[in-house]
Amino acid sequence: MPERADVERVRALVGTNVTDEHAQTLATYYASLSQAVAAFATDELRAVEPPLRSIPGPARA
Amino acid sequence: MTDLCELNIADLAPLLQKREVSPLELVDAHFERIERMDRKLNSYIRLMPDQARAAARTAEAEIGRGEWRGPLHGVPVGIKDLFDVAGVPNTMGSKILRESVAETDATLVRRLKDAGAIVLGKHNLHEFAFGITSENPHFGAVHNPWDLTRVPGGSSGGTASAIAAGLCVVGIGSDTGASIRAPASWCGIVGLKPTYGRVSRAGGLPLAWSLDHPGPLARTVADCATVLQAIAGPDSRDPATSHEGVPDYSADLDAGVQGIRIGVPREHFFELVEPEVARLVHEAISTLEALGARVEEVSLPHAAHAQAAGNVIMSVEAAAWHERWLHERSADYGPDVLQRIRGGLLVQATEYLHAQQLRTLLQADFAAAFQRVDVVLGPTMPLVAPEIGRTLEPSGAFNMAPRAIANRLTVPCNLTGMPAASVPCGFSAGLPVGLQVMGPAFGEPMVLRVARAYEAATSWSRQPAGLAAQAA
Repeated sequence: MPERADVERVRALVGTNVTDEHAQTLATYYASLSQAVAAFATDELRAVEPPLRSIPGPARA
Repeated sequence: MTDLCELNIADLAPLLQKREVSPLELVDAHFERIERMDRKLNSYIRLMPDQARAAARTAEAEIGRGEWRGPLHGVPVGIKDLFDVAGVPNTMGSKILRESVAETDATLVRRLKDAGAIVLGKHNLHEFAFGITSENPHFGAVHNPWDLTRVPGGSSGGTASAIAAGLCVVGIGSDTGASIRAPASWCGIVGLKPTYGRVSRAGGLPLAWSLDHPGPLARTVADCATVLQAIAGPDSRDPATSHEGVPDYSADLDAGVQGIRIGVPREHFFELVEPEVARLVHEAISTLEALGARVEEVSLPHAAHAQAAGNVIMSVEAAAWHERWLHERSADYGPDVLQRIRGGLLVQATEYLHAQQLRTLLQADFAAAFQRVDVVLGPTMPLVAPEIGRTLEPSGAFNMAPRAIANRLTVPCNLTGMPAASVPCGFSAGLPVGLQVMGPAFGEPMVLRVARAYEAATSWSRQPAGLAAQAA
């Protein structure tokens, strides 16, 4: 069961019109995503870049 | 004569070219069948009979003048209702876009039309393409033609259901985590997610920019190759499209698998897979080995984290695109899709970037594997099609909700951008099972060649879907 602080954080990010029940569902959903990412091997992540690149430009006319 | 609606492009093209079948006759046969069967399947959101018949008359006149454009000329196709078709709404399966009429064709629709294909209509899908079941709250659930109580898969569920039942010859779907391969597997047809950048996304509404892959669905591998040929290639409207040369995708289809090196993953791809699904896939790999392929184990240690990374990236990128509607139109979303998109608003930037970094690690896993093998094989889906309305309930051999595990074997190739196909490899309890064939970037010719070799050696692709069999 998410804590009150989690529910309030959901409201702050998603909107105040969210019901308690929906906010709790969202907090649980986010917690599962966050835990899954936390399980990635930190040392391996530090060794690689994400596949995001700046695209140089525009080229000189 | 065989029902016209059961013929594939390879059968139809010579008949159309020689004027033994007319495009109008073919289009009419499909609309008659749709009228008879789609009340049960709900695979189409919109039919376009006037436009289709006008296009069929044009095709008929062109072919009559000897101006045959190629194997798609006069062939009826369906388009997932996520790609623009000029003059009709592009709903993306949503209430929000129900009246949003497209002014121009998506690039791939334009290319299909240029090749002579005739658009019959637009297919139902999971709302905003964000789901695996095609249980759509606004347009109704799509049904699986093998068992009407089951989902067809998603999000391109209407497309797969329609093709399997003979309500169009081929179709176009999109795949962000599974959405071409999942419905292909569960409906017993072939689906190909091409390499990222191989097919233009222009005119298709996004789910997640960095994961979206448009591609073909068909009843045969050869038909997938024919459709890919028509839609592949660079497009100035989509900056992500590649200038890599477009090969002849049909040239090596029947070259067989003698000496081809097949990799079977040691990790992940056979974990949490229903035993009968795993057995059928191992049997398919043995069939390819008997045809001359060499099989060896490969290691993909980061595949276990792919589903988490994919779900994070999908939710965040979807939230960025939907943000205004999430605040202004939240009541117009179905509850499951609203939850997953809103979830993206909660993810921290560092978590999103860690998910992106995981892509790099997974790329390295596959790069090492492709040093040793030509393709990697595994199941497409860990389970067969679940029942409509029960996809969130724990069930099956592992007592897990189908929606929780459905994309765990397909999303790795969305993260890496590699091509992957699903080809039918048998039945479990009367429901289709798919073999997934994964290849290196721009390796579609090899993926299709291996899939075709398996298809040619077996009879799974020649079995009409249950509902279609009743109608025949």
